[in-house]
Parts: sequence; structure tokens; C-alpha cells
Amino acid sequence: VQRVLLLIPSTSYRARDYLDAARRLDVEIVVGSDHRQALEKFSGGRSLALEFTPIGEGVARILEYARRFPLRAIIGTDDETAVLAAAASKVLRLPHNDPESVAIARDKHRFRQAMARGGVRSPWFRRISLDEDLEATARSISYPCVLKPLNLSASRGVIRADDAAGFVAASRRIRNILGTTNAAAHAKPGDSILVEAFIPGREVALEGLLERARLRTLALFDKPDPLDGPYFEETIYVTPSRLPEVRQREITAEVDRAACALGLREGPVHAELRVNDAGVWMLELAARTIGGLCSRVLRFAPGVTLEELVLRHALAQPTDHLTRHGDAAGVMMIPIPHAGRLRAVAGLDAARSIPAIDDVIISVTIDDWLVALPEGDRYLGFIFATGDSPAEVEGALRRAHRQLAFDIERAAA
Amino acid sequence: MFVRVQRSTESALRIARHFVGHPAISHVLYPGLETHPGHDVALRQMTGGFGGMLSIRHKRGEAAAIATAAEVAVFKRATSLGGVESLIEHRASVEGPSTPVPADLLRLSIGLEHPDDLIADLERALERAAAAESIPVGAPVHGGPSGLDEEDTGDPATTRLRRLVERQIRPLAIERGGDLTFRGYCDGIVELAYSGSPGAAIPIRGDIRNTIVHYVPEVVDVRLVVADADSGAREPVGPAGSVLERVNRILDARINPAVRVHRGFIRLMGIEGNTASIRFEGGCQGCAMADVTLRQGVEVIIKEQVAEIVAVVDITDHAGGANPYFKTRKGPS
Repeated sequence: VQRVLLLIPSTSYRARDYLDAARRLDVEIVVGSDHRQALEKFSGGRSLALEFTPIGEGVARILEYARRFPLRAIIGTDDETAVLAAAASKVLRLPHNDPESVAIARDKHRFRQAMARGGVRSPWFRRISLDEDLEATARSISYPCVLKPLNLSASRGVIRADDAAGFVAASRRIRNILGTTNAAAHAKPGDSILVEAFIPGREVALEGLLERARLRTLALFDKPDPLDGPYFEETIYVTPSRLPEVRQREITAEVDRAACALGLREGPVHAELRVNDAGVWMLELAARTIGGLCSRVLRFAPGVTLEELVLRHALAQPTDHLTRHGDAAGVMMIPIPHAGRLRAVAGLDAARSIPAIDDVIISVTIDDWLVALPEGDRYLGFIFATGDSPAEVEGALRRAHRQLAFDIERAAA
Repeated sequence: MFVRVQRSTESALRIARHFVGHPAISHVLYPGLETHPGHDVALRQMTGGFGGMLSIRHKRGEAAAIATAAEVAVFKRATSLGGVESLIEHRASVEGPSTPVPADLLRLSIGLEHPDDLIADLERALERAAAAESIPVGAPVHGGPSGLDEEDTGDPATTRLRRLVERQIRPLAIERGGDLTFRGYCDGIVELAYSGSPGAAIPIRGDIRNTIVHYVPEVVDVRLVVADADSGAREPVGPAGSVLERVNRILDARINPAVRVHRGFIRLMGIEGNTASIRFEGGCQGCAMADVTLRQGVEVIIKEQVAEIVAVVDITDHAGGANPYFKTRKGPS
């Protein structure tokens, strides 16, 4: 049996895509999650409840499991589980990244330090404590800058500041966000944050696969909406990139350099970069795939998904022949415009009927309480499109979004 | 916050002291009690009081603990803590079969209600749970005729159910401004008819089901229908021994009792060829782990037990899920 342990939070969007891929490959997936599955007792050992942190406890639980059910590979699906997957794989002598490299990638300050050591072009950066005299610190900072929690993901808590007053206000807001973020792996009140230069320019995302430290670009996404702050909400991703070929090669080279600086050697990587006249700037590089449902825009042969590619790689099956398949493709992560209770969604049929739109998925439920960035941690949903050109895809995504109407009842004052 | 915590702490201590030595309770677990093994440590560390959380263990075991939780009126049955409302939960049910939590344990989070009300509520729940135990858990139930009987068939389970509903469940509905009567029982399904305010019965459906399942273990589900109206949508029912009937039986006897812990329910919508179509409801509808439940659980059991079935497909409108057990979160997963 080719048994693969999939470490996946119980709030993940990704379970279905990995299970589908495993079925196509005739691989047995063991779902390792942070909560017990409802039907665990019937799963025949294909379900494992474990804590992702502390890492040592998670590794011990996986080792105990692997003694009964030998594993061929362990796959992490997000920043947190990628660290545990690497650590457990190392002990079990399965293909893996250095756990320390993966851990550095998910800590924004340590990541910046590694980039600086590796000669990767990066903004200036500084770690500050939220307990220090913020007014005094604000006077010593160059503006504009960006403040980031060290461990949160998906732009949560990331705020631009243009002056000292903005810096102090942003710091306090992040402190509040950290105070309400209860995941064990996340920062606690009083922890540090990263402050770095705001880099103007266009933003891109690279999806790649490392095989014995060799980077293969799977897709390069343009992010056509400007990300200038004060918050950095991800919206549209379109591939292939419309940047000049030479610039695309620079981006790939920069990601390769960053992966090397971190010491990553195996598995998927997702990088976020900025591009301007000065060159390519590395923002983040994570040892995981793209998040949410965004991977659904990628196909590497008819029916071959990113999750299948990741599984094949984990099982040491050849993947070189699998390159991105199809025309231009894009996804829009539908932002939450303001806080409130979602009462209704209208226009879904109209949005789905737009040419080039493949699907519209609303991933929140009616009557859910919604919170916008920088505090929020959800999207309203996803719009998917494929077309002849990136411009057509981008246009279709925007038209479909305009068809949607979200009735969000604001909280009473 | 300070005032709230202070109040819940004081109430928790009072409640804990009240139930020490109660004839239905074997242990009261609260660090503020001098008898608690961690009391000395708590005295050193918890300088402002001993908190609003405590647990009790029922002398008569798991079923009695569950029945007690089902009988409370002031406490709310919920998994949370530290709020303004007092909560009670059967913790082992929440954590699943391999939990180290004793099966007879009820966890209490004390809120801002008057402690006398909370004590009275718990006393009453313990009494009612004990009284209900006098209704005997009887002989196994036989299949009975197809379709739900409105007449008393003489089946012992039907007789017990009729009596249980009349004595214990109907008064609850009447108290809440409605009425509830026994309508029939067949193949593990109890049908109750409600009248008056829907709020008298529907919000306490889970408690009604738990109570009935406790006293008549053969029951696997309870349906509420409007009195004098047809029950409307029902699962397709096939003749005894048919594929349809066997799949339904697996759902009722094995799968739904397990997903109920996650507030969920799985309904067979039909069988076409060798494919069973199912619908996720309640906490399963829209749940981030619904596919895992389907692939690693439902499909596995049904295919193992019913050889004619080779595929189980989910036809749920997950986007319409109002209260999924696991909600998706943004972030790189």
C-alpha cells in the first residue's frame, strides 16, 4: 500500500482536492488533522487526530502511528503542518526538507535574515517588540513601511504605515489582532512584529516544485490589482504572467536563490515577489502550495491537479513531463468589504453565466459573521475563469465579481 | 470582565460545595474545594479565586450523565466556556471514543445566572434523569410493518416509547407553549407530531432524540412532523433486505450516531444502479471535513457492508450549510 499522511487543518479548503488526487493515483491517504474525524472509528486507520504543535509531540504521535501503518510520505498543506511534516519525515527517513529551513520560512523575521545572508534582494527590515515605546520607535523608522505579524498568513495583520502616527496606530491594531488569535502556533500579545520597507511595484506569485534542490516553475501569476495598502488583500491571480520573458526569468532565478538561501530542497514552494524598476524583490517564500481553492485553476495535463503533482513528487514518481496545461487561467478571492453578518448573496447565476467563468464558489455561509482585513481570516469565496488570454480571464473575473451582491448587515453602533 | 469573572468564580465555588456528597454524584472536581488534589497548588497560584469551571461525575455512569445534561433548563448545552451563560456538556461525547475524559463526567462553565437557580436546575435535572430510569429498557425491537404506525401495535418498544413521550417529553413541549404526541415507530425511527409553537419542539429536537435513544436504545432517530399534516420528505424506504433498506440501516445504526457528535446527519437520497446518493445535513453541511467524512467513513462502511454499492456520491448543497461543524478559514491551506 502506498500510504501518505496528509497533515491538514480541520478548517482547510483542501481536503477534497487531495482526496481526489489520491484516488486517481490509487494512493491511500491518511488524514492527519487537529480534530478527531466524526467517523474515525470506521476509517480503518486512515484518520489520525494529532496536535500540530508542539512539534515534538506531533512527531511522536506520527511515529507511533507509522509503527502500525508504515508511511511512504508525509505532506503538509499549510505553513504550520509543513514544519511538522518535515520534522516527522526526517525521523522516519522519508524525503523531506530540513525542518529548520521550513520553520525559518514561516517566521517572517528569520526569513528576512536568511534572505539577507543569502544575498537575495530584500527590503530593509527590523524586528520590534510591541511592548517597547512605540512612539520612540516610530521616530526611528523610515516611511512608508509595512508592519507584519511574524506568523500570521494571508495578509492578516499586515498594515502599511506612512508616518509615525500611522505606525503607532498600526502597531496597536496588530497587538489587538494577536490578542484575539488563539491558535497555539500564533504569536501572543507582547510578541514582536516585523517592520520592513514598503516596496512599490507590481506583485507576482510563483508556484514551484523543488526536486533535489532544483526549482521547476509550475506557474507564474500576475496580481493585477495594486497592492499598495494600507491593507494587502489578495484578489486576482492570473497566469501566465504578462511580464516580459526576461523579467519572468529573473523572478524564477530570485526564487531559486531564496530557496537555496533557506536550504529548501524538496516539494512545493509558493513565493510572493514585487517587481519594479530596481528589479525583483522577494517578499515571502513558503514550503507549501498556493492556498485556499486557488490551486483549482492549475492543470498539468488533462485532469492532473496541483495536488496530484505534489502527491506524485512525494512518492518519487516522475513529474517532469507534467507542465501547466491549457489556456490562460485565473482566480479571484472575493474580499470581505466590511464587517457584519452575511444575510444574502445575489447574482450567482449571472456571474456564472459570464463567458470564460468556470465557477463561482461562496465559501462562507448565510448568517456568518464576517470580518474584513486586516483582522479577518476568511474570503467570501472564489471565482474561477479560463480563457484565451490573461486579459480575457482578468476581465471575466472582474465582470463576474460585479454581478455579485453581498448583503452584509453591519453591526449596530 | 473583572466583575464577571469574580461572579462566576463565586457561583462556581458555591455550586461545587453544594453538590459535594450529593447522592447522584460521585465526584465534584473543582480546585477551590479543599478535597481537590490540586487545592494546595491552586491556593498558591489562583490568588483571585478558583475560576468558573467545574466538573461533576455521575454515580450511575455515562447514560445518566447524558440524561442529566438533557434535562437542564437554565444551563445551556454547549461546548464553550467563560461566557455569561452557564453551559453544560458531556465532554466525552465531544472528544470521541479515545478521550481520556471519564464517560460519566459533565463539564460546567458557570456564568452570571443566580447560583440558586443553577443549583435548582441541576438538582431538578438529576432528579428527572433518575426518575426516568425507572422506565425499563426492554426487549429488542422487531422490524414491524413498513411505514410508521399510528396505532399501538402491541410492540413492547412502541408501548415504552408512547409512555416515555407522554411522561417526559410532552410536558417539556407544553411548558414551551406547544404540544407533542407520539405518532409512530418503525425500523428505529420514531415520529412525533407537534402542534402550537414550532419553538416548543424544534429547538429541543436534539434533546428529545437523546432522551429517547437513551431509554429505548433501539431507536436511531426521531422525526418531528406537524400534527395533522403529512410528514413530507422522508428517506426512501425499501422492502426489508433491499439495498435501500440495508444502506438506510447502516446510516441509522452506525453512521448517524457518530456524526451526531458533530451535530450532523446523513440522509440517503436514493440509489441508482450501484451508486448511493447521500445528503449531508446539520453540522455536516458545508463542513470543511465533509469530504473526509464521505471518503474515509461513509463510503468505506457502506461499500464494506453492502456489496452491491460501488460508489457513494454526495449531492449536498454545501454552500447552503448554515452551521458547519468545521468552517473553512482563509490562509494558505
